[in-house]
Amino acid sequence: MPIVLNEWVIHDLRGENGSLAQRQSAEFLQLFQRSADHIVVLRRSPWTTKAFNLMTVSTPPVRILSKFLHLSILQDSLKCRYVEAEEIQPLPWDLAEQIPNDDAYLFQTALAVVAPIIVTSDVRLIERVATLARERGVQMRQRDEFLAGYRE
Amino acid sequence: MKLDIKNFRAIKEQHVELAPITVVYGPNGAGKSSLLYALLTLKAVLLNSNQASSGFFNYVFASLGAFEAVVFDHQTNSEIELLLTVEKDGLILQHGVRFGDKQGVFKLSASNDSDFKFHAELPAPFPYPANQQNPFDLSYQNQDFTLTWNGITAQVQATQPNTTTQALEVANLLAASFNAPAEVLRKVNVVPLKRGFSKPFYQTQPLSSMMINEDEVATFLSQDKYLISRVSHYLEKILERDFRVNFQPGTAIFSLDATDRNTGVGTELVNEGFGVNQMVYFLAKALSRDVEWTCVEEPEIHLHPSAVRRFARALGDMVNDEGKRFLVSTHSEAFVSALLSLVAERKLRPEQVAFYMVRKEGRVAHFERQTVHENGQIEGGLKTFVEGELEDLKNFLKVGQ
Repeated sequence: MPIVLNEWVIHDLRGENGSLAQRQSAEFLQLFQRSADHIVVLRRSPWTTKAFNLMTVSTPPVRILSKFLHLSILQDSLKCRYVEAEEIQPLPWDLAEQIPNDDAYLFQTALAVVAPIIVTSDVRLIERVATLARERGVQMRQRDEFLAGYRE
Repeated sequence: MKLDIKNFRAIKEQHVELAPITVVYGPNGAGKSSLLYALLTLKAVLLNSNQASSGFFNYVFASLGAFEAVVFDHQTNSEIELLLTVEKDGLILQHGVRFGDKQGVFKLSASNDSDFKFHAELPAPFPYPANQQNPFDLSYQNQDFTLTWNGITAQVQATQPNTTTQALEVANLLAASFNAPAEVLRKVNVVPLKRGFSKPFYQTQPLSSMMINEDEVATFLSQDKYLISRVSHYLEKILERDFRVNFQPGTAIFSLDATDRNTGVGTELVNEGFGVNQMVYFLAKALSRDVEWTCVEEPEIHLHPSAVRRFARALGDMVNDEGKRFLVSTHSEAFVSALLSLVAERKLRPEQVAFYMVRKEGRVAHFERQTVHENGQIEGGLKTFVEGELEDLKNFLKVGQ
């Protein structure tokens, strides 16, 4: 299952959303690493910039988490599918109208693969575009609900 | 190039394809070094067979002991088998040995995409003085030849009395091909864990074929001004030092010196950081014109991670520019990541690197090759480098408890 994670996962791993969120994301990544799923990441996107910046943090828990993210997921061709800028298309107008510019690349990334899930912490975004996204084969899931139900 | 290993130390049976840079990594005691030692052992058996079998496991820097100590699971009724496969001029050549404590069987085979197939075996007691010249008939490109083989080197002659020039050329080509695996082994050398220079001054010493001790390496360096400049070139790339050999006037005494490019301060290697010191040792051996394959254990030791990265890039340059080949065991994620980064940069092709994750299951070492992609990703990731730290994460975040 291809999964597009919003930037919440990076903020979680940095500890910016509190220790509970950091722990939840850490547990999710370890489950995910053992699963048959993979994440889809747009190269040279805000997500990869934040992931790169995460790796500059040297405090132990964040350092370990960033190392795990890098070595076990982003570096693994079975766990991470990179989408190149040439592979993405402009968003259809109806989706573009509803999606903030900052999040547009996540949907463009999702639309570049088959049957993806976008996991976001933005509940309002889901309410606005879940139906439109579903019509195009993209499922949207809310972060807390997704993490609570995630199994490897 | 491929190596097939049976019953050697923790390796029960393993087929390993060697790329220009072959990297083995994994936990301590998993069996990584066994791959390097297998290649050195095969070299010793094929090129220095006139000794007892325990001599095949004495690499000067380390002696593994007698056959019983080295054979898998110490099963003295088993035989170690080491076979090297190379390709040359459209032929696939395999040369190696299956051996017990007292005797063995040399094996030589060849094949091609057509229907050419040849196989010969020659029993030999150890020590073996390589004095058996055995003739074997072979037919190649509709011509008959006689291969004379002593288990080590092969000569090929056309069988017909009136040999044509063409038949002579084919015979020479076949002889070169049959000897190709042994020629590869001749150019295998090793940089052991114990390396570097411990004295400020050296005197010229006689050289052995493997050049293990520091006096030999220092002597070898001092005698080749072109090697000195190559060592200096790569030392600058990796550690920002240049390298010189300085003789004391009117004597055979010399020093090995490095100069910091940033400060201009020069000193003998023994007074440099050990990272610089041991890197000169490595470069001297790897860049020697007589060496194609360098086996090195943990080249990252004593290097800062940024130097490890530059070292990996220097290996890439040595492969592309100097035709060198490396078999490396490592515990360094920085080294592995830097090589993958070179692939992503298109400075190395995916097929120029081979990564093997080594794990021990029970008593048996397993080498699992991980496919490298053009974007620098690697199938299966590099999770072994972070497994230990994930245990710490449990303490930091109470994850998984």
